[in-house]
Amino acid sequence: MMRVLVVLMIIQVFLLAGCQSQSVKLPQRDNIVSPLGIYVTNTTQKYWLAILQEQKYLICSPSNCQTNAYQIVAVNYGVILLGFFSTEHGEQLERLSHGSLKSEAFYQSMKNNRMQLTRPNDLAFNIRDCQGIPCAGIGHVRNGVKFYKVENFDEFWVPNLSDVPKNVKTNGDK
Amino acid sequence: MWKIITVLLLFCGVYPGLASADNSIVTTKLDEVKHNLSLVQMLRDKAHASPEKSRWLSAVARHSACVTLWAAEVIASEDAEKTLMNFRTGEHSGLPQVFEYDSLAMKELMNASYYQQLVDYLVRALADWYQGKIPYSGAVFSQAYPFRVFGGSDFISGIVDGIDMSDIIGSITYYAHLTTEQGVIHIKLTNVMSLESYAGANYFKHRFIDNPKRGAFSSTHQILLWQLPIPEEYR
Repeated sequence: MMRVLVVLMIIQVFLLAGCQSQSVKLPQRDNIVSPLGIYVTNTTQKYWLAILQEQKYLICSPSNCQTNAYQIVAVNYGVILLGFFSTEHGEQLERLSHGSLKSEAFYQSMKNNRMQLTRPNDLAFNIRDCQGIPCAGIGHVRNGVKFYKVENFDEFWVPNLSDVPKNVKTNGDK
Repeated sequence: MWKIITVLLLFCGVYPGLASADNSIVTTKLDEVKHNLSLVQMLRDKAHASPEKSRWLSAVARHSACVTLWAAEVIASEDAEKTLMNFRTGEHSGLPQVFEYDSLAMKELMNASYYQQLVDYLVRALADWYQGKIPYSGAVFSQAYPFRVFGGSDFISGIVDGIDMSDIIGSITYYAHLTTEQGVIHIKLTNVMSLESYAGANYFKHRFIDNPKRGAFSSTHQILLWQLPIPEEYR
């Protein structure tokens, strides 16, 4: 009888733990002072993104860049990249964001679902702190695409900048 | 999904060793890396390095899933049963399954405390993105920080009334996407039901399980659509 009571009490404690409302705090972002700068992706294909002043951004592969406008939001840790998924690179990154190779039908299905939402081609570039480095993710949390901010782009990787306008600043937000 | 095998493995004394080993590696590596650039490189390498899969643990997970999922289907709600069976048998198209806002499956999901907290967290994060006032229309937001993982207490509180969608979805695998239109917040959650998820990969952050590419226990995707009016406090 005693054992039954103990078991019931343990179950009750678990149930209470499960049912109690837990307030989940939003994370602190004190160390993210500006979204401006250069971001590289964690993909094997080298893509990079530059969030520039004057509300323009570049999305680039080693061979070429595409540019578009971004929208400023009220906070200092993000922007909305307009038309991101309508660029060739954005579409390719969307495919990579699922983490592993899928069928063409799968990609199309995911894309069709995105297109049914409002502002389907705009990406909220919401920057978080990844072990001390500002980063933003797309798609799968663990296996998707992540953009990591770099301090010195040239040290990291020397790209073909022939298609980049000459007045583009690539030294981050300094 | 992961709880039953977790309990089994805990009894075997397997998980404590794996979990602590994984954490210690990460901690040591972080201590060593000081420079931002090299840390970025390390994160890139880590993301693309071939994870150490365990054939033995994958086999254990498959066998355990065979039994537990089949048993769960017997007492599961209709949508949960179908979703579990598709995953267990591998008889699915490989395309994401969409659950609309007004579906029974979504009502089951949103009845659970965990998903109510998740929605609350996302709405507050959306409001934070717009500094307290959520636009009536045209807002767009992507979750940055993952919400806490679906834990044992969430599962226990969920199965009191039987097995339904909230018990089989667990932690949401993709970053959530939010928009607003005509005073309504639209939330898109995307989840992957996989063998590694069943084996607690989201909870323990391990990469030991090899997800089958096809056939039984090949991963399935669920797109979960939810909506709610913009709360008064954020208007």
